[in-house]
Amino acid sequence: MYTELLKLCGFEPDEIKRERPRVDRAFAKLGLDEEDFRRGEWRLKEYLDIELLGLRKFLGIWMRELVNLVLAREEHDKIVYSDFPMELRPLMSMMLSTDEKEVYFGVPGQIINMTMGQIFDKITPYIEVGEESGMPPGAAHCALYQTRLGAMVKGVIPFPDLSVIASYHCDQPAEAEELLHEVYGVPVAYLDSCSDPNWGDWPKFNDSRVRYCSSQASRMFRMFEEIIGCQMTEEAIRTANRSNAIFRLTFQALIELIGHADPQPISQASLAHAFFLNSMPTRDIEGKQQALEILAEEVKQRVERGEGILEKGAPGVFCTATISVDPSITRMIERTGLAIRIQIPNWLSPWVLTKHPYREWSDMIGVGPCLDIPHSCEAHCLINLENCKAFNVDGAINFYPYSCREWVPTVIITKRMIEKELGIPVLVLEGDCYDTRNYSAGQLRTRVETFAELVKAHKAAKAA
Amino acid sequence: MESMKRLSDHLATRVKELTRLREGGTKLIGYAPGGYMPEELVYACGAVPVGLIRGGDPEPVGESAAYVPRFMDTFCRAQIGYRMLGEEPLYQMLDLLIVPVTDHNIKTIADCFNFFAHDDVFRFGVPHQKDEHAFEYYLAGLHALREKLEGFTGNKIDDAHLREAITLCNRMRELLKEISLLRKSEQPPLAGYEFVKLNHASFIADKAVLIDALESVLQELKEKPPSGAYGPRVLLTGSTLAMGDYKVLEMTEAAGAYIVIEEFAEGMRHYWENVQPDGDLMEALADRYFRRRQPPAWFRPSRERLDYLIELARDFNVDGIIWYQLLYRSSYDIQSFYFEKMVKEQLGIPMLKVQSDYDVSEKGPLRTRIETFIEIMKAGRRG
Ligand code: SF4
Repeated sequence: MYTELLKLCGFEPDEIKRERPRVDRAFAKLGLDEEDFRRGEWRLKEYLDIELLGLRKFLGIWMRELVNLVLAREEHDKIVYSDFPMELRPLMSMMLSTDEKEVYFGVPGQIINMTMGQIFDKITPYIEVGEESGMPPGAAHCALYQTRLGAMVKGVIPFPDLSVIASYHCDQPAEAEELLHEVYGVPVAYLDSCSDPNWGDWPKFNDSRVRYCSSQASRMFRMFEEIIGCQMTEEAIRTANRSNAIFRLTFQALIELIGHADPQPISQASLAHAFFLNSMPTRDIEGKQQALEILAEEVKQRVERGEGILEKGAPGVFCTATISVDPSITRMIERTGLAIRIQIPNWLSPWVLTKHPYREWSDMIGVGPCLDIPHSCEAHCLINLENCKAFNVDGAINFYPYSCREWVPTVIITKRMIEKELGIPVLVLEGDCYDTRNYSAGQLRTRVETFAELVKAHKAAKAA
Repeated sequence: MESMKRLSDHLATRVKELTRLREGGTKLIGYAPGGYMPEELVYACGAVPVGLIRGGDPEPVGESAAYVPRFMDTFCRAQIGYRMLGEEPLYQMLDLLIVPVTDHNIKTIADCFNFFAHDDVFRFGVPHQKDEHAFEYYLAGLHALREKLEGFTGNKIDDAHLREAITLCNRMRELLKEISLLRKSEQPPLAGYEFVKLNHASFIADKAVLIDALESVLQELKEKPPSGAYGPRVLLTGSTLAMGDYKVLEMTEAAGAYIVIEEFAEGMRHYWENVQPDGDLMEALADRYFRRRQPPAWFRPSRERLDYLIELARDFNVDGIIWYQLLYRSSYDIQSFYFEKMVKEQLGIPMLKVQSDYDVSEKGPLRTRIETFIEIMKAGRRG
């Protein structure tokens, strides 16, 4: 039933055979049927550059994680969850300090989004249960957290023995986890920081902010060790740090290659599967790195051959729509003739890569929120602007997720900054990265098409 | 009451008075009213603090849409609207705005005042839990604030001035507390609505005038004969109770119930605890404003606040709880889900959750819900 689908997701025939009993059990629990598999196949072919082996390997990583997640209680003694915006390094260091057989470690919200959303378009039932379970509709709660709550309450995925959550960057994860704790008794370890730099401070940050977050990282690690019954190891920390750095640098080179290529070599919707692995812990470190390197090589070859998904000379835009549950909006934007040079902004600004003086593991975690978008609203807006400059775009689509309290304040400030400094058109689009019920590609198309005409005219006028 | 009248006359001329002070060189320091900004520091450097607590009007909320999308807490959007509309004098005459960053909604006020109004805004962080590192962080924020104020006003904050300011603010809190506690009696001598107005006045009035008025109010209330009125007693709690946002109070009391106690994250001054001015005064401020302050819904563990609410409900012998939250304040929305269960289990009284976006169209349905709720409480009492 699902053989073809798994092949599209990079599974080899012998793996499909070997894994069939597990996949059967997981898919049955998820309520996936023939129609879903057909829809999944169609979506992969319709929206992604599915002929690329690197992408198929990424899809395989997500699909395996989905099966592991659903079967976690049957197969492991202990379960630890996290989710966005928790950084990958602390998660990986905790995960790698545990025995693979004993402890399952995952980010259920993201895994469900990237599979049940992206591939099967079947995310809504989870959101609806989340809405009935303490995160009601109409209140702009984050659908990522509604989804994971809904999946637990529905019994499709187990409740964890521990949740580790970042309470900086946005308030919602911690609010949702307090609910999980109060209503379902799940212990939660928080990584706290304060987003309090003054306007004009970016990219500076103060030591006390780092130290505070560092103290919370130590506390989180201690709680993890106590509840899971393990010891964080130096080796796990080193591996987490190194593998993360290598993946990010390779990813950085890839997005620069894509962003500067003309024509645009692959869809940004395809790249999303690699992008979200920047925050999904997996024990398959080698497989993940290998997938990225294969993808990078494939993209390089396309660029060298002058191949792409759009015509050469298409106007380029910066676009913040990285929608993890639905590739169709990104594809719709590209199909209006706009090359998305850079998204989200996932290009790391030079400041993010700057060396800092912290060497203790907890301090290195503590400095994380000071270096990038979580630094402040000002940082978020200026990084958007820098992304536009770095890729010399002709316009920007500032897609903002309904429900995201972190993102919302940056929307109009970013628009004004880009318009003022670069003199290019900016479209503000309201949508949702995690919930497809209220916003669809079809509904947004007319506005994007009109905007595309504007950008094209703007580019032509500039060239004349 | 004569003293209340005196206070409202003072408030009516306060903008004029502040304008005069400002012309004379006194700095006006605005702040977000979440209870984490020690006014004592402002007084100690010779400036005048002004809490930004206007709310309840639909126009500023509408105006804010040009600067921030709608998915933000209503009160915070209203603050942006008041500033950008330019019609509310207090919002236009500030020399500096201080924003203790409590959550994303409040932070957005700072960002919009900075970017769109080009105001001078100073932020400091409020961690969401209370371990010793969090305390240190908050204290470091207060030190940074002190430095900012000293630089901004050109006046050094010395211990003598700070102690004097602490004494002044302590007296104000003491009086508010004493007045509030009178409502524990079976027949409260003042309506919740009246107390809230006194509390709101404390964000804007001259402290000496305020203290004088509060002393008289207290005396008058103590001497007031029992009214004979007897209605259901209500605990009103939620995210923000702004100055001007009196609809829930008015509707509740018009329907024959008494709001005998309130607990809000913002808009209401916290008066239960005083600063203990022994030892290091900055630490004493942090102890009062952070460690001993009852936390809002975004604090962890959330139990601390909820247990406190249960205790308040018992202490003030309430018959029901009204949970009043503003739209898109997600922390309150989520917390209400499990608090309602606690109320049922631990107190056995009803709870009504209502929500507002400062929209005039809400009033009809809101009134019906409140009146029904009060009928339920009355029936509960008879039963
Ligand atoms: S989408 Fe926004 S609200 Fe949801 S977790 Fe991310 S930053 Fe937070």
